[in-house]
Amino acid sequence: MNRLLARYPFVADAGDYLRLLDYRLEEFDEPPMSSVVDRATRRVMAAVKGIVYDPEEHASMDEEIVSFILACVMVKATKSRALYRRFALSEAKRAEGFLVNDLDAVNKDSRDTMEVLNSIFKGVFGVEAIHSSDDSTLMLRVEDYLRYSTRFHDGHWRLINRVVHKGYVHLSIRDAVRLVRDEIYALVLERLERIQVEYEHLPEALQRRVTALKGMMLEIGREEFIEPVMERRGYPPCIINILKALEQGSNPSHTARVLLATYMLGIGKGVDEVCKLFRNAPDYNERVTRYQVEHLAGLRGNRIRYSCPSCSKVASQGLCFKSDECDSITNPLQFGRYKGGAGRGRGYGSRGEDVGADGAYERKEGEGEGGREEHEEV
Amino acid sequence: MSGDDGSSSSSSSSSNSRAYSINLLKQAFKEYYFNHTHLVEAPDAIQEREFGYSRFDGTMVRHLSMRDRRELVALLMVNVPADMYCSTAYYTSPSRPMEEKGLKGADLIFDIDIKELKPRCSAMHDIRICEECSEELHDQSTACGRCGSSRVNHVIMPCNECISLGKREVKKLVEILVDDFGVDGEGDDGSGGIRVYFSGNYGFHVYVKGRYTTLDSAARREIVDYMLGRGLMDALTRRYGRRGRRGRKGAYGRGRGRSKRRSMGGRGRGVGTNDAGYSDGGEEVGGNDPLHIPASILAAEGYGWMGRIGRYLGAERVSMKSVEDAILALSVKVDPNVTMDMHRIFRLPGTLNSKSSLAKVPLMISEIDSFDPFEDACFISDREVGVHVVRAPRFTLKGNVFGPYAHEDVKLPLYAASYLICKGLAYVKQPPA
Repeated sequence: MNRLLARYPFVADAGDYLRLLDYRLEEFDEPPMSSVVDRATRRVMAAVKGIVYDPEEHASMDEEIVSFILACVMVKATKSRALYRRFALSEAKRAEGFLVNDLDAVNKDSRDTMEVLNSIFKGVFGVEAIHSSDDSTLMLRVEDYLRYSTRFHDGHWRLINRVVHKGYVHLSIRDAVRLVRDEIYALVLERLERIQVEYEHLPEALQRRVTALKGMMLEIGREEFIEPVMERRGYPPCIINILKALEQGSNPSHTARVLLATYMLGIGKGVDEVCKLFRNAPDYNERVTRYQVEHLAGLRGNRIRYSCPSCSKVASQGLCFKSDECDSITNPLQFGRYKGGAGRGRGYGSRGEDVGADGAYERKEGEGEGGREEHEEV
Repeated sequence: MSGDDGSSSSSSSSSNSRAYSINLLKQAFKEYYFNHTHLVEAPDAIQEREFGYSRFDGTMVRHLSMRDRRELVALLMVNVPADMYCSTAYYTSPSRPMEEKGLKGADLIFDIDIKELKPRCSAMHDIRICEECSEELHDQSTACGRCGSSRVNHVIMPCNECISLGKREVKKLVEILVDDFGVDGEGDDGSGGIRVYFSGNYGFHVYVKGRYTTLDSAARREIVDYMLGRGLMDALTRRYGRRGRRGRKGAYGRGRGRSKRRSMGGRGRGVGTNDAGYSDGGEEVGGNDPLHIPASILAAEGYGWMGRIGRYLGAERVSMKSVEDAILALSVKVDPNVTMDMHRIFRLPGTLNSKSSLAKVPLMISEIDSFDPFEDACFISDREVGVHVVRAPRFTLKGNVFGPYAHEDVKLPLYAASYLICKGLAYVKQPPA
């Protein structure tokens, strides 16, 4: 079991280690423990830098597990939610690599493979995965597959493009692992949430590292470590909902992303500002996001500026969370127009400070409302 | 109900005859619910279902809940609804407003509407009648040639040929459910499996109980697309049809925009299919170029869609067009919205359909070929009543052939009279003695 925990320290049993550890944090002040503290620090630093922790020298299994838990404690002590997310993503990617290797092992019924299938797929995600020994595919029950696949927006994940037989979807190892990777991310975040730790109560050795980490975050200057994603006052509920989803690191649909981007462009935000909104998305890719946002802003491709979809269109996409404040507006851009919110107040002599100079109500040339859905992920 | 032959009837006599007709129908329906109570199927988990019904005046009642089967049957006997519905969903509080019901899950259902299969025979037996003057319209005009009214009633008079088309879709659907989705054939003990019903008019309903009840709407959409074969041709074209695409681009010079739309369409359409995934005779993709699908992919022993196409084509050399035809032939033309909408209330099995006065009845897959809705779903009594038939083609019910009729008073068994009244083709002139 320890072998498994070393690679996947976030699985349920790691919680036992945490509880044990609560009583022994002070031990990490002692010199013999400094190597594991260093290891944990490097683990967090990898997350801060946005890379996957991959130590050159291998530690004992216990050290691997303890370093993960210490890393969790340090991350939690920074109280930076942005770091929580980065750390979770870094650990999820690390686990993804291990999963692919373990499941792809030459000997299919090896102990590792079976342990992973039972402990992680079934134990953690409740997904019954069966290994087909003849052609290195995993078989997932259709309903389990759909529970995860409908979050992806690429045609690759559509059921029609899958081999479906006798109630099971046949998947390559890589696809099966990709399917649950977001769950690992969510699980690590959940583990972090459950840790109760205050900076003041940390042993001195850990306090020093946490202070150093905070300094490093400032130095790197990633704004997301310091400030919340965006001031949300005055946005319509549909937009707030998407921002909230992004803040929580979940995966809004393509249409939701188009709505958010066209809305923000509509109220005059610049392309850079809009791109930043998506940086918390689990599948965030700066290059793709920039391309898509620029496309929506009419800077690329057919040079058509896409307007924010109307409220009825938003409702038909299941993205409307109408509140009393929405009153009788017909387009999210009109929200707060009379109330002095983020909306622009056009025609009432008030150009909001945070609103760009042009474009908010400009009719795009050509397209119907909502624009064409020709884009890949924003 | 419309006026008399040739003369313009007064509005009061028209509304009287309408009231007489509704009375007769209500009587016929009431008799059915009294004499065939055992046919009414109470759903499993009845207390978690929402019920609703429509009255003969067209009004609708929803958000009802039932404690047990007895209460349900009592409602049918006392209120005598025109149509009775039950949610496919299970709720915590079924009688509360929609947002407070608390969705727990829903049966996976499929609706096969024969009208959407566009049967060729419909031109032979369907009729179009002016609702104002009862004149029959013989062409496709939208207004009556006699009185100019645009209120035209398109009356479907199904025949065995179009019912067979529906049966064929049911068989394809059941095959995919069993082979690909691992559903146990048909089970009539309520514990799982597939249940097939004749809708009571012009279609079939298929219920899947058990493991798929927890799917959300997005997952149901995926299953619908799977049944419709929607998106498959797109994916194949993207993956294997390079030569076809390149050829078209070079040949027409305007291929870029079109192929882009096609390749990026994502959840959009299959080639040559309309929104619902049915054929609209769309353009041919890739011309007659051989499709670059490796033989192993379309192997007959393969699983899922690829194996199905392979078995259907049974040839080594496949063209893009032949694969497209295979998908069209093998896909199941289900109504996507019915399956995706988890909050829908659906006709309750064992109740009468006010479009025909036939009952929604279960049928066994193994006996589907011999199922005759005009015999097996017709339960109204055969006492004789007098009605005025505006127009009716020849039709068969309970093994008896009726018609054709045109503007005549006839004595008919109640089941035939109510069938025509439900179709809007007959009415009761005078109150029964």
